[in-house]
Amino acid sequence: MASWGEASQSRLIGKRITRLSGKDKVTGKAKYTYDINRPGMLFARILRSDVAHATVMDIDLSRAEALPGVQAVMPLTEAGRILRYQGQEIAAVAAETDDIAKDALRLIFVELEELPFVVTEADAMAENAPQIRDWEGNQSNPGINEQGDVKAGFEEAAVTVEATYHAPVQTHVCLETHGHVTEWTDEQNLTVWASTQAVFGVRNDFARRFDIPANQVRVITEHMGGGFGSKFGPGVEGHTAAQLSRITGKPIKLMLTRKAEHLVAGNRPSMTQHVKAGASSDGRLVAYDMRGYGTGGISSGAGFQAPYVYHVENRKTEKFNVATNAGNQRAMRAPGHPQGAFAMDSLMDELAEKLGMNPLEFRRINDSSEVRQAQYTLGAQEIGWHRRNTVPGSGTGVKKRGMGVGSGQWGGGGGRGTQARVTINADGTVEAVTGTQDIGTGIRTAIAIIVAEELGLAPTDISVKVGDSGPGLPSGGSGGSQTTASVAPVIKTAAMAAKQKLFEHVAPLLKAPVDDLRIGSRTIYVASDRTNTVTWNQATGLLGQESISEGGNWDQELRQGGVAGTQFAEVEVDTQTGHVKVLKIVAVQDCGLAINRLTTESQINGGVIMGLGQTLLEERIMDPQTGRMLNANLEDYKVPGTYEIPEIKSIVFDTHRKVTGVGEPPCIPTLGAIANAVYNAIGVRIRELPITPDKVLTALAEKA
Amino acid sequence: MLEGKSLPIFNRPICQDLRTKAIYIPGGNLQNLVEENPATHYWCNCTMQVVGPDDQFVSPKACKQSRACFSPIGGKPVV
Repeated sequence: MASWGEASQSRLIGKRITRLSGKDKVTGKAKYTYDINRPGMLFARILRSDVAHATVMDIDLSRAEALPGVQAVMPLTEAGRILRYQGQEIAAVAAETDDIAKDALRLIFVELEELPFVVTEADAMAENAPQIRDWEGNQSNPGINEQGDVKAGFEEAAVTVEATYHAPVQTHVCLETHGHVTEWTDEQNLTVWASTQAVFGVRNDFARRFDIPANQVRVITEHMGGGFGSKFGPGVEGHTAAQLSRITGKPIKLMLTRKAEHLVAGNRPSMTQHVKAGASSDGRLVAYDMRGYGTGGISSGAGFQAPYVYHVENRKTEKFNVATNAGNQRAMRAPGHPQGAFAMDSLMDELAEKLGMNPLEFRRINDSSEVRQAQYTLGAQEIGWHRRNTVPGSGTGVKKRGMGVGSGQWGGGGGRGTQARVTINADGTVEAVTGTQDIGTGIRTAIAIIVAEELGLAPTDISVKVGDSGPGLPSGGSGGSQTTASVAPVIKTAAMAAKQKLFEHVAPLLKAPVDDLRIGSRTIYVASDRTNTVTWNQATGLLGQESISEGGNWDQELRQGGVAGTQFAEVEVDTQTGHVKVLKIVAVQDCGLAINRLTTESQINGGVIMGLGQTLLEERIMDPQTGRMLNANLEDYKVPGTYEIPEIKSIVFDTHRKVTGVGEPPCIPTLGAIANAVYNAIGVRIRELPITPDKVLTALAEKA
Repeated sequence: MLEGKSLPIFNRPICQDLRTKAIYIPGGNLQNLVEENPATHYWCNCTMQVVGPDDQFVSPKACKQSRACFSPIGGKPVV
C-alpha cells in the first residue's frame, strides 16, 4: 500500500518550494488565453441587453454585416424570446480588429419591448411584483428542515437572540476575464485555448455542442487567471467563438469585457437570515430557528449553510431562492459557506455576550471538532486573545481596536478520474503529464515535487505538462478543492511505478535484487551495500533508445476529506470616519499533508484576502429604477488591494499525512472573525455586509 | 466529466445537456442531476443559459421528456 511516508523522511514534500511557473508569470513569459494570438485571427464581441427584462421584437444585422472588416455577424437570440437580465447576449460580431468589432456592435438594430422587472430581493417578493420566472411570487419552494424539538429548546434557553443577517451578491472578479480562442483545423477538429477550470469538461461540452468526437477537440489552458468556480463550462462566449470560427474559417478570440464579467459570468448569491436562537445557562446552543433566502439572479442555487459548524440539537430551517432580473449565480469559492459562517459566527458572539461568556469559550462548548479545539488554542495565542476588550467598545481614543474569531469547514478529499503518466527518458529527463489544469494554485509545482521526491531529483528536473487535453490523459475540473487530492495520488503511484521499472533495468548492473535498491540524491544505490551505486544518468542511460512510461492509480489511502479552520482578526476602527482597517489575521487551517507548504500558505493568504473583500468592500449594487448594475467595473466595485491587505499569519495545521484540498476553506472564517472584531472594537453590531464606513458611522450614531 | 464517478441510480431519463458543477469535478454528486440541489446552479449545454433551446428554465425537474429539446444521455444534440 502506498503512503506518503514520515515527515522526517521527506526531502521535498511538505517543504516550502518556489512555484515552477513563478518566473514565467512575473516576466510575462507565461501565456494565458488572453495572450494567445493565432495567424489570421479575428476578434469577436457580443452585443448585450442594456435592459433588465424585455421581449425581443426584431433584430437587424445587415448594417453591421456591411461594415468593412466585419467577417461574420450572428444572432444569439431571436424575435419573440425573452431577455431576462442586463448583459444577456443578443448578437455577436467577428471582425479583423477589435475596434471594428466594437463599431459593428453599434450598427446592430434591436427592437425590444421592455417588461416590468425586479432586481432586488425586496422588490421581487413584494405583493403584485411581476413574475419573472416559473416560481410563484418569484420564490422557489422552500427547503424546510426540522430536527429535535425547537419549542422545547427555547423553553430550556436562558438567553435568546433574534437578529437578521445579510450578505449581498459578490461577483467573482477573475483578473483574466472569461474567454476563448477557437480554431477549426478542419471540419471535424477544433482547438480551443480556454480560460477554464475544467479542460476536459470544456472539451466534452464543445464536442457535444458541435456533434464531433470528444477526441477531436483539443482544449489548452497553459495558465489561467482566476476562476473561483465560475469557469467550468464554455459559456455562451465559448460556443459563440467556436461557431464564429466555423462560419469564417478563421481563429476567433472572444474575451469578455470587465463589465460583462460582472454582469453575466457568475456571482455569489446574496443571503438574508432571520434567526432566533437560544443557549442554556451553561453555554449550550439549545434552539435555532432560521428563515432565510438569497438571490442567484435569474437562476436557482442561492443556498447557504445554516446553522454552521456548531451543533444545535433542536433546529428548524426554511430556505428559499428569490428570482431577480440579474445575471445568474455560479459556484463561488466555498459556495454557501462564507455568508453562512458570517451569520453563524455573529450569532455565536451575540449569544455569548448575553450569557456573559467569552465567545471563544462559548465556541469550545458547542464545537465537536477536536481539530478546531486545538486551533482555538493556537490561534488565540498567536493573536494575543487576552488583549481583546472584555467590554466591547471600551477602548479609548478615536481609533478603537478589537478582536474576533470565526470558523469554517470543508471537504476536499478528491475523487477518481485522473489519468497520468510519468516518463523517464534515456537522457535522464523526466516528464509528468496529466490533463488537470493549474488555476493559479500551484498543482504544476506539486506534481513536480511528488515526482522529484520519488526519483531523487529536484522539482526543476521534472517537466510537468498540464492544461492540455491533447495527450488524452483526462483529469477532473478544479472545483470543490478537489484538485490536489485527486491528482497527487495518481502522480505518486505513477512515479513509483516508473521508479520500479528503472530499478529493474539497473538491478543487473548493480548485481542486486530489485527490492534491495533505493533512490538517493540523483543516485540509485543498494541498501545492503551503500557503496554500490550508480548515478541517475548512468541508470537512465541503460534504457538505450527506450523510455519508461508508467501510469498511476487513484489510491484513496493517499488522500482524506474534511478540514476545519479557525481565524482570528484584529481590527482598528476609526470612529470619526467609520473606516475599518484590519491589522492582522491569524488563519489556522487544517489541510492534511501540504505537498508544498509555500503554495499552501499562498492558498490561505488568498482565501483570507477574498474573505476580507466580502466582509468590508464587495457588493453588487443594482439600481431598482433602471434594472442595471451600478458598479460593473473595478473602480466602483472594490476588491482588496495592497492598502487593505493586513498582516496575515497563515498557519498550516497539518494534522495527518494524507492529501486534502485547501483552495476554498480559508475564505470562510474571515467574515465572522472581522465582523466580530469590529463589534469588539466599537460595541455596535453590524449585521449587514459589507461593513462600510457609512454603516459604521450610522451604527455609532444610533448607539449614541 | 463522467469518468471515474459512481453513477447514481437514474430512475428516469436524464437530459444529456443538463449541466451543473457536479458533472465537472472529481467526486461530484451526480445525484444533483436527478434531484434539484437548492444550493447549486443549473444550465443547458445547448444555450449555456438557465433556459433551454425552448426558452424554458432548466432543472432536473423541468428537463423532462415532454420538452422538444430533451435529449436523453446517448442521444443527439439539439443546436
